[in-house]
Amino acid sequence: MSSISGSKVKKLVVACEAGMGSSVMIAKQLAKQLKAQGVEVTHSPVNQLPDSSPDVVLCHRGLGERAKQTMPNTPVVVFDMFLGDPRIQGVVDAILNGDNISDD
Amino acid sequence: MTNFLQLAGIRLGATASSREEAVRLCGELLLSLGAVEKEYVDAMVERENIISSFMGEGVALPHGTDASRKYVNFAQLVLVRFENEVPWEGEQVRLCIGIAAKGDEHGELLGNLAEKLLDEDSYKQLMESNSTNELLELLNL
Repeated sequence: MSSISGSKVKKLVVACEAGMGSSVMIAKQLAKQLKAQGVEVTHSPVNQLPDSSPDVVLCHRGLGERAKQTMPNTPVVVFDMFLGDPRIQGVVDAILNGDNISDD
Repeated sequence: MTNFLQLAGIRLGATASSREEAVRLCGELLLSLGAVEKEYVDAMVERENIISSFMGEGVALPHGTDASRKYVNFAQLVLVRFENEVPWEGEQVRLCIGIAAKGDEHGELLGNLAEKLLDEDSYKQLMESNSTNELLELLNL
């Protein structure tokens, strides 16, 4: 299990298979919500995650295991729904409030 | 700026009996616009089988695999709305946004789409409007 304080997060990466669809959409939304905090939000294919050295990884449950294998020491938060998933909102809230973010 | 969505890329009243048929319809539309090569259509089906592109709210975002970017000629989105509910791995889909992209150039449009999906009035318009002009105006930046 890995964890980090929300106040220390400077880079959030949304992982995906291709980086063309849903992850791009989520990254754009989160970038807007976290702009004031100076948090960079990008997206990346799951196998290229190390290149973007994220503080926290967000990804769909279906890719969670692959993401964790690639980034064993980084918190990987998985979600089920692309639109309005409470876990995604939870990460945003933790960054805004400085709460702890950890793997499941 | 470049238009990532065009009138010819919007199809309303489509029908599909399966997820693969729906994804192929999106792919064929991208192909007919010249945005992709035919290999990309197969890659869209392949990607869908790796992980569903279902977004929630009856919407899916089918697109190719990372490796299939080489079959993309230019970034383009297509909007295909179905008359029937297409079965999608236990979910139901009425609207597909098919995506072809080389990089991140279409990101702003996708961000705009997310906002529209989460806004009640715009969502209703996306799902019910029969005016392709209106839909184009709603989504284009």
